[in-house]
Amino acid sequence: MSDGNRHLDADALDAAALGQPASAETTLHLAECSLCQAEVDDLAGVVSVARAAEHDPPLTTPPDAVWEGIRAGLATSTPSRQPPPGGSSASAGVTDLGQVRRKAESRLRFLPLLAAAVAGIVVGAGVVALVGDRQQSPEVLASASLGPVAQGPADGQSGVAEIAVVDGVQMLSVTTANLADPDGFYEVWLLNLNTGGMIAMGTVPGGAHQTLLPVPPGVDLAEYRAVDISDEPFDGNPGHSSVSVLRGDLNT
Amino acid sequence: MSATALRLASPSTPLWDTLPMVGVEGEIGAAFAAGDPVAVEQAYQRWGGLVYTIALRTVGDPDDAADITQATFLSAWHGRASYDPARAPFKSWLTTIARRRAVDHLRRPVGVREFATAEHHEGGQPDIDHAEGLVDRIVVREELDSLGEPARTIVDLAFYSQLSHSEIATKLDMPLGTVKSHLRRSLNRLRTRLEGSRDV
Ligand SMILES: [Zn+2]
Repeated sequence: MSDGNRHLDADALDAAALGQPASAETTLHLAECSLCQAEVDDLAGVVSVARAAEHDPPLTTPPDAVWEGIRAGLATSTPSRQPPPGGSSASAGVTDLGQVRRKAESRLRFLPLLAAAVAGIVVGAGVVALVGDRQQSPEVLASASLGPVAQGPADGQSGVAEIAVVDGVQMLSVTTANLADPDGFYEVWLLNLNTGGMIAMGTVPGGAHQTLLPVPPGVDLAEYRAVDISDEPFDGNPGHSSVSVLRGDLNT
Repeated sequence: MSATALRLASPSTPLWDTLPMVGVEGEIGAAFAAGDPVAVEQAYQRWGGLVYTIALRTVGDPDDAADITQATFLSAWHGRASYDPARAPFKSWLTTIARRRAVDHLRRPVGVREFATAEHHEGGQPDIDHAEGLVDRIVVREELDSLGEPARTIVDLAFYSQLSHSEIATKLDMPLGTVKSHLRRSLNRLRTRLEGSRDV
């Protein structure tokens, strides 16, 4: 690399790894830049394994005896009874398996919601509404009204952010209204306004939606007291783009 | 919920990079590591097929594959204290154990190997590199099959139909940026999985 030229962006690296025709500029850069070429080689290795696997047969289901053997092996080392596989998954409502199992099931019932939230799937309205059918109602720790930021557009977009404890897990609910389609994608951040520290929380779509995102344990909410939504370009750079669209202070 | 299940790799890491640690896989892994025996059943239901297929395609003999599968889950259970969710997603950790056990099986002296196994590898001497390649393909194929839509369709068009980003966008009537970001995420996810399953 010389003259301050930028490295190839992620899309160009992907395209090269996939063997798509490259521009002269890309070809030239790859010839000169061992970093980018190494990344292309690495990705191309993944593509090559996937292409080799195209016509491989699906996974083989093990015979029932395999689980029986594992269960027998477990029985010698754990006091808890083991249910048979397949028929009784976590959702099958087994009730007589003791404290450990009940605890685990209580955790696992939360999984579809958590998985959906992590995938950025939009559900319901309000943390309380989102988890409304749970036995334990969530404890709201902090909330923020989100408004336009100086460098962002200000055409009526707004939002509300809420942090609540759901089954002992801190979740951030982000509800937006009139959010224009992003140039790239919207990323939600927790901000430490004293230190400038930022934590990437996940993405939210444009428009009017609600998204539930897990808050990493150990985040000091006395320090991270603002929520920010930025428009992030697809440039492979995980840092903040500096284009904030909505922001608000968290009040407890 | 264990404290490690939701840990992000670094403050600026995009959330999707840490997905394996926060979803169902992270939950089961955390419960497993915490010594919850129910997690063994959960893990087996999800990944028993993956472990068994790795064993079966590596050693060839169904009985040996069954033994390796059982040994994989039981040794994972007994060695659960060594599982660090921050270092590897749970499925990758399990895959690593299965891979190691299957390859160890191939490395046994020929005299110890059962007749069926030796026969399966017609050359007589099993090819470890070939086995490693097989496991890579199983791991990647399983991860491909776990991609949601539209990521899977986009990946199929890019990998197998060899369409360009813009050709895919046109074909699926989708913004180019969406196609690019799905491909990027999928490629990274496959790479993370592949690398994770190779760690020892
Ligand atoms: Zn470069």
